[in-house]
Parts: sequence; C-alpha cells; structure tokens
Amino acid sequence: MRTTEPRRPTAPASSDGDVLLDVRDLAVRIGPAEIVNGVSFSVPRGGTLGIVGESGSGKSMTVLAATGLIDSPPARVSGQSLLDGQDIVTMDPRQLRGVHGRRVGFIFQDPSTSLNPVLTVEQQLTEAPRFHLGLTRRDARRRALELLEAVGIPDPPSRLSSYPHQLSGGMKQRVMIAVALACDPELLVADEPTTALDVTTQAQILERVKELQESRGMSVIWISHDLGVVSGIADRVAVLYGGQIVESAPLEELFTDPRHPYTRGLMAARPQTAHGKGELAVIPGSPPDPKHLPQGCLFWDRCPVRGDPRCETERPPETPVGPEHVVRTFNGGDADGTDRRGGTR
Amino acid sequence: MSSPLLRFLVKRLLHTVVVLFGVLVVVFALLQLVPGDPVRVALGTRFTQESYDALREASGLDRPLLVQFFAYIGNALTGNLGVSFRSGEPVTLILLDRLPATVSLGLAGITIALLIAFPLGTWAALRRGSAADGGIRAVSQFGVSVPDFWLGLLLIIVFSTMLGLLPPSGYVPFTEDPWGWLQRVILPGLAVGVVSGSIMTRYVRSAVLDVVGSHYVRTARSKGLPRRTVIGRHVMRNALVPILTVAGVQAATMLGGLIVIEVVFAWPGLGRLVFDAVAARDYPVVQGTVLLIALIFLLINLLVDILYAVVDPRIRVS
Repeated sequence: MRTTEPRRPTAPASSDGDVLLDVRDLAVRIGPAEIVNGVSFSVPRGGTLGIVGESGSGKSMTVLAATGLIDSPPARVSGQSLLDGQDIVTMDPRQLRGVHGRRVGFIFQDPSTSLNPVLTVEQQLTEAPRFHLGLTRRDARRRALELLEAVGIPDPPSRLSSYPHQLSGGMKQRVMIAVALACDPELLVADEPTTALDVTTQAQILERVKELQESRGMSVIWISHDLGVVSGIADRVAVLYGGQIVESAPLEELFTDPRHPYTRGLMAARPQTAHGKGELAVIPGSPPDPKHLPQGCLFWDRCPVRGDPRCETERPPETPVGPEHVVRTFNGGDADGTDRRGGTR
Repeated sequence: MSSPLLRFLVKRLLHTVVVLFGVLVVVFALLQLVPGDPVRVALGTRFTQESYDALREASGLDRPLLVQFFAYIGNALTGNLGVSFRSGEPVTLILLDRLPATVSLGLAGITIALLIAFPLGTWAALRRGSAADGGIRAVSQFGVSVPDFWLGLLLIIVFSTMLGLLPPSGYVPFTEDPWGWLQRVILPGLAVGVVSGSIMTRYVRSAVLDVVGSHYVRTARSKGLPRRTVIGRHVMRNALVPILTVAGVQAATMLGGLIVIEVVFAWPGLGRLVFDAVAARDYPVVQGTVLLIALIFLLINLLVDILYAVVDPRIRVS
C-alpha cells in the first residue's frame, strides 16, 4: 500500500491570500483503489477553476471529496480542504450541512436524473432556503421566482408547479442551477453540467453561469472532459490524470504553452484542431486502473515522448515552469527540445 | 393538476370493467368444465327422476350454455348470484354475511405485513452491510420460507395452548366487540402477515437502496438538508412506487392464503365458505365466491394504480 506523497509547495496561484477554497494534498481511497492521489489546488474568491480530464481521471471524486459530498465510508479521504480556513475534510455531518447548499452549491451532469421526479420545481427550489435561511413559504416562493427568472426560465410562475418530466433537458439544468444558487453560495461546483445537453443549450448554460458568477461575485469550479467548454469559462485550468494534477496553469498560458504530453494530447484531440484532416486525433490507450497504479509516472504507458529513465520508476513531482504554471512530467519541463505536437498520431 | 389525474382514473376504471367481464366468462366456463352433476349432489338421497328434472329446470341448467351464460351475467350485474344448492339461501346474502370477516382479516394481515416490512426494510437498506442488515435479511429469508398454515398452527400452540394469552380460533365482528375482534384477529393476522411481511421486507430494502443511490438523492444531500428530510421526503416517496406494486401483489396473494388460514382458525370468511362449497359442489356459491374474490382482486389493483398516480406524477401522463 502506497502512502500519500509528501506535501509540496504547489499551485502558486492567488498568493495574494484572497483564496476561498484551498485544497492541500487531497487523497481518496475506496478499498484498494487509489482514486485521488495528492491533489492540491486553490480557488480564488470570484474566480473560476476549470478541472479537465477524461472519464475515470478522478475529477468528480476530487471535487466531491474537497467539498465533503463524498460517502465516507466507504471512501477514505485524507489531506485538507480549507474553505475560508475551515477544513471540510474533518467536518462532522452537522457542520457539513451548514456548508452544503448554503456556502457551496452543486450542479451535476445529468439534469434528468438529478431532480427529484415526484416533487414540483417549487418544492425542490424552496427547501434549501427555507431550511438554511429560515424563509417562510411565501418568501421562499418569491425567491424561487426570482431565481427562475435569473437562470432564464420563461414564465416562472407557471413553471413553479411543474414536475421535472414536464421540462426539457436545458430547462431542467436551469432549474438545477437555480437550486444550487438558492442560498447565494460563495462557491458553485459544476460537475460536467453541460455534457448531457445539446451544443446550443450548452452554450446558453455556460453563458448564464458566467453572468451569474459575475453578478454575484461567486467562485466556480467547473469540471469537464472538454477543454473547449472549460476555455469558455475558466481563469485557470487544472488537468487531471490518474487522480493527479498533471498540469495547472492560467487558461491562456495552458493553451499557448502546454507542457505535459497529456495536455498536448487533449489539445490535439479537440475536433477543431483536426479540422480539414477529416480524422480526429486520439490518445491511444486508457487511463490507469486505480487498483493497480504503476510505480512510475501514471501516464508512462501512453506517453509519446517518454524517454527519461526515471519515467518508469519514479512519479514526476510537480515542477514549476512559470510563475503560475506547474507540470508533473520529466519530459515537458524544458521549453526546447520536446515535440510540441506530441501525443497524437 | 387534477384533470390528468381524473382522465387517468376514468381510463383505469374502464379497464377494470373489461377485465371484470373476462372474469365472468372464466368463472362461468370453469364450472362447466368441472366433472360431476351438481343437481344430483344437491338432491343427495332425496333423488328421484322427477325432482331431478324439476331442479334442473328451476335452476336453468337444462337451457343451452349460451343462454345460461347471458342469464348469469344479467343476474350477476343486478346482484343476483342464484341460490345455494345446499341451504337454498341467496348466494349474495351468504357472501355479504361472510365478507366482513375476510376483509377484516385481510386488512389485519396487510397491516401487520406493512408494519414489519417498512421499518425493517428501510433500516436494513440505510445500514447496508451492517450486522442489523444481515440479521434482518436472515430473518426475512426464514419468514419467506415458512408456510403460513404451519405458522398459524405454531402460533395457536404457543399463544393459546401453552401461554393461554389469546383465543385459538373464532370470530367476533369488530362492530360488536372491537376488543374481542382484536384478540381473535391477532393470531391469524400474524400467520398471513409475517409471511408477506418477510417477502415485502426484501422489496422495501432493495427499493430504498435503489433510491438512496440515485442522483436526485445526491442533489438533496448537496442542499445540506437534515438526514430525516432527505430520507422522508426524497427517498421514501420515490421508493414507494415499487413498494406499492409489491404490496398490491401481496395483498392479492394473501386472498389465496386466507382460504387455508380461515380453515385453520375456524374464521367464518369467504375462504372457509369456498372451501366448504367446493367440497359440496355447491356451484352457485363457488361461482359467487370466485367472482367476489376476483372483484376484490381488481379493486386492490385499482387502488394500487390510483395510489401510483398520487405518488408519482409521471404516471398520470402516460
């Protein structure tokens, strides 16, 4: 059994101290599976962190563990996740209830299964404000109307008595956003909220969240497998692979100067890049099995530029390559010499 | 809001009428196929050719089948189910006399079953994998395997013969003596209730487990609601839909089980009635009882469907 990696100075972002969520060395184990392996990041107040990775990279688990929404047991969480200095990882259920819905709001991937099918929109939208803020039925109702208006649902009064099955996917996700924002949270966690939606609706939802974030000064963690989506909203992006952050940088820097071969692979695998060639680039292979993680670099078996002798035996540490740019590889740290287009055929 | 519900109810009611007609056909046909001549049996030692012909003519058994069938349906719809070959009493009156006993036993049985299944099933699901969960599953497995009449006999031996706490058999109408009724209904109610309760415990457990793992329960938890709100409001209401299905099937199955239990406990209900009537080839009574039991069965199903629609708004539309 491997122990968590020693703490390292990472993610130099927002060293100005105005950090809302500060995650340090977070690790999640479920039985023999090492799902999250020493992840550190921080979310500045009012800022947006994009977390990108393919399915099974541990991105949802990382964020659910950091926000205390993971079931433990069976999951074992270690490390710290400081919300305004208070560690969420060590909170008891009562303290967590004061965080969930109140200070941190959540939107999930599939809006059609995330809303309760037997309760009306009003019932689902008013329960958190009534519980957390002690609003009366009437006040909660008024607030619900404002929220539906704010997320762009036409004719809010008639939608209040609707059941989820009477709404389209995009409308359901808007309702979910309204639910998440119902108590004016400081942090919004969006776990692939546009994946199940069509492209047009996806763009509308993204735009809407951006507006709401700006008007409310809220912080956002946006999880996605799609770099394109994240580029539309994030200030800063962390790329997750095998439950580790392999690269983390401000949005533009990540796009103009990706250092990790996996990040480059993701860039090349975007449909836009392949335009004109008629064939999508892929990263061959699949993510490591969290029950049998390799001893060396987690990306080794899929890496197109592996060459360093340490690759197979040692996990690369997080290495700063710019003031706010860290990367976890032995082969991308040098700006010269390596193949920038790497990772694809 | 209520208009789709109303439309659903009307549709469902029409459906019930169609099924009821089918039941009438089957009940009528079944008895035509049973060997033995009911008129001879009815006459017994008083048999003469003249009285035989007279009774056949009086009961209409000499007429063509189709005529008999439509006469039967016409009569059934007006509440006339013929007269008993044995006692000469109208079948409808006999049935109405026996119905309350069976209904009260059935209600006691299903109540006991629900009182067992809901708390135990929910508890086991919420503490999945714990010792309590294992214990509940083992006990319910045992309960499922026990025949209800055997359990009935065991209950009589323990609570009446050995402990002398409860009367071993008999029936008092609830309206006459509620306490006496309760004392007498407990043992037969337990005999049928424990078995269906055990079966339902397993269904409640898996229904609750299903819902607890669902995305909308995660959403409810992400709102920071108290645990009892998450369980009571979000979990139980959704788990109720599959549980209702099983409860309906169990209530209906229980009707069959009541025949044996009523015999064991000398409970003067429909089960004993049909048991005796079959033995005596009392056709009109058998027909009438089967018809009534089928009707109860249909009503239970109708009730379950109505409850569905009340619990789950999606069912009202489809």
